[in-house]
Amino acid sequence: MPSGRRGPTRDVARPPRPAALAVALAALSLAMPAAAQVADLRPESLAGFSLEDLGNIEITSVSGRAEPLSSAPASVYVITNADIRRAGVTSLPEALRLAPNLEVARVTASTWAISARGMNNADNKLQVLIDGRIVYTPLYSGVLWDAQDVLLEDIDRIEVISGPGGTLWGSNAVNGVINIITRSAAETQGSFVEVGGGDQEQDVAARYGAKLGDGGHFRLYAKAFHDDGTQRVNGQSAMDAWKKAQIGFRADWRNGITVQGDAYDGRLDQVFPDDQRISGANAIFRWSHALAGGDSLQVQAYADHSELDAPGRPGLGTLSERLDIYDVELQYNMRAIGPHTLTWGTGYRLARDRVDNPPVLAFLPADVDLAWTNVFVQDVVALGHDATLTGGVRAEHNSYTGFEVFPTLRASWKPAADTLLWAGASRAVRTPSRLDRDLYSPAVPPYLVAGGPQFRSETSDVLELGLRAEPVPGLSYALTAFRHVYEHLRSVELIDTSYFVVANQMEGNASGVEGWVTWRVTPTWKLSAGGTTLRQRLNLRADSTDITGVSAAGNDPSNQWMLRSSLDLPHEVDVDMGVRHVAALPDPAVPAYTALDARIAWHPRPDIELSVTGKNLFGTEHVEFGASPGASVIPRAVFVNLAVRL
Amino acid sequence: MPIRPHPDVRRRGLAPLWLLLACWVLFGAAPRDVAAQPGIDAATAERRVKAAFLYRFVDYVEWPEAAFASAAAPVVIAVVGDDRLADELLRIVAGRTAGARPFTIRKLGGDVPATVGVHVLFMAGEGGRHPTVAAAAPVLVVGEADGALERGYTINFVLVDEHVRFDVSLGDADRRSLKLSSRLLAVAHDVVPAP
Repeated sequence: MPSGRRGPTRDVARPPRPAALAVALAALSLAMPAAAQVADLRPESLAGFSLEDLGNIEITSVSGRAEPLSSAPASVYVITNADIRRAGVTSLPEALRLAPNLEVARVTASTWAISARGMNNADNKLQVLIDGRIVYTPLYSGVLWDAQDVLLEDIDRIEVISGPGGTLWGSNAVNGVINIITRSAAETQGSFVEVGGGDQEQDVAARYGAKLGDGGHFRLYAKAFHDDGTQRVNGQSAMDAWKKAQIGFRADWRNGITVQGDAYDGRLDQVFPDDQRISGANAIFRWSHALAGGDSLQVQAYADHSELDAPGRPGLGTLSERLDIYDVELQYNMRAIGPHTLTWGTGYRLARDRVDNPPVLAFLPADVDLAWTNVFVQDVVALGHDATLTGGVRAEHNSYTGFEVFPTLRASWKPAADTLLWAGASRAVRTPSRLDRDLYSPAVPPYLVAGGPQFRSETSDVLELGLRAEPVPGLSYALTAFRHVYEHLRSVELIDTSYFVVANQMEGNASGVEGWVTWRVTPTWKLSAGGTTLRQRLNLRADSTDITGVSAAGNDPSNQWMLRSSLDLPHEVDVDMGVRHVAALPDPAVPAYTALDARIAWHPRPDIELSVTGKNLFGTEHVEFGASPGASVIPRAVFVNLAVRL
Repeated sequence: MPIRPHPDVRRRGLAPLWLLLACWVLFGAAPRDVAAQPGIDAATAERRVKAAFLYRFVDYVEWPEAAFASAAAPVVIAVVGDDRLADELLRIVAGRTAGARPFTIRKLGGDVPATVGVHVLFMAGEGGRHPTVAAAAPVLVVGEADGALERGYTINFVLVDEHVRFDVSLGDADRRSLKLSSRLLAVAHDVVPAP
């Protein structure tokens, strides 16, 4: 379910505003070696690169062990720092709209439904990482997007992989992986100050970076914003204004050690008299080390604390959660031995979840410790004639279902230097969250909802076929066809016509095509387009007594597309425009919409950028998710921003 | 509610996994012709990226009119001390122009002065020599040595976390009557203001 969305009343299994629940994390696999952003270094291609593109090329990874994205046998889209800045977006979810292989719908001012390849309503099949820290919550397997943030200026890139990634990324990487990677402290030196305001939100942010004595660098940042909230279709306020402040730091040393952390505090208005409160803090230690002989090793450990207080109707108590996650991971990349190139790793993650239950609804037991242990290995086998075979398997033990296995087998072939054909067969697994096993209502017997004692993991068997090519310098495209077969999806079953349990009586399949094309028309003008089609067929098993229906899993558009233009004009003016179209959602019905965003920026001096962004400029203001008349209308908005980089 | 493995899961044996693993190792280890590494080494990558920067800089620099013999006169990029980089640059500029101007690439030896008609001069190596061109000549002088900006270079390549970036000296650009676009400066790693 989309974070923060208030579920329809018929869905008794939904907790009240999971989105309002504070951050959490879980942790399994470490991010794979950061893939090179650009791999094609043929001179004729380089000539089409902008200054910024050239500066973003990682010199080691083109020859090193990290796999360039252009040869990864998966459906990968990369959002760059420049893409984010030039789109004029002010939040992480908005930045994710730039990936054609994601469904991104704004539910209210602070809550979003983000998914890949369908399943937008379940909101529990994405693996999301920020600098290697897993940010989906074990409370319901979704991401609380209101709790997750970074300084957008410091993002290096966001790698969006649609499709299964469980072997490398662990449980929850069923339909996609979002990997948010910030720049190193060395790349964010100096001062940055940004002030922006508009008719919908007001933002302020600052960052300072400098050298440390022993060859290291650090940065500190702080940001805060206020969002005025939305109106419902019926004209009433959605009571969803919110504000949040966040601070953080990162330090990188030459010996491969990184230490970073963030802390935040937010207040969210809601229909009940008292505000929701979210807060949290995390700290990460990471060590990347190249060993003699060409092997390399990465070790990461982090702790992540989050808090949520969600007061209900007066007299009905407050749902509070205190969640602590501790995670340690190791990944070892071996040098090629004969045709084999092996990567293996292991990890352990512990979540200590403490819930204060209101009388109407409860996670039972209220306090629980969940642990995940994993080991994985992947082998890339060079077959000759520019073909490779990639096989991998992960075994993971979790507190609810014991061992789960996530295998993948992928083949790729380069018929020409600028063309890659690939195919993959994988099994991805979503292991249970607390929502699937521990949800009771009311908090004491007799229960109307009695947990999910038999809830097992959801599985997805996936076939993919992809093509990526750059037929002429400056023009590149990617195309992927996929078929997911789902089993054991969550349902809510009526037992003995008297109470409900969470079970696995839904199944189905989804197939579709996703693709995008980028054309650098001239060094100063870039056009890009992308889109997806989806045919999702879900059904309940014959013996099911489910009451939520298949739209509780996915209420997805059958297609969506986007088109962007990024133009550098004389006199230091940048003009960017983006149009996106999302087809209608079936149940609850949301009409199709088309939205135009535009931004114009001027640099009176190299270190100053003044920009005006208009969002949702043509067509009518629209609903993106949820049922009328309570659904939030996403308004037209104008935003003026001043950024100074010194 | 006690948390315990689901019965279905506990029944699942791991034997098929071992079988698969054994097949994989045998299959993969079979002798075969290993494809040549598709990647290029880091030094080549660095050289190519620097060459591409040299080509790209031209769009963001305005030379005084007198620096060109005519409106269609070529942009001359001279490379001192790195013939392989010059070769990469030749490949990059093949068939390309800067506005109406074609490109000419010159390879120069270490001590040959870059005289009249050079617009971009790249001095390779970390030795930190003084540029072989007059301090006020309208030439974009690019280096790759520590402290180059203090020795009469306009732009200096630096490696930052395995990325090729560049620093810019506004003072040197002024002395050489070169106008640098603010977009160039915005992408620069460090901009040293004019004194």
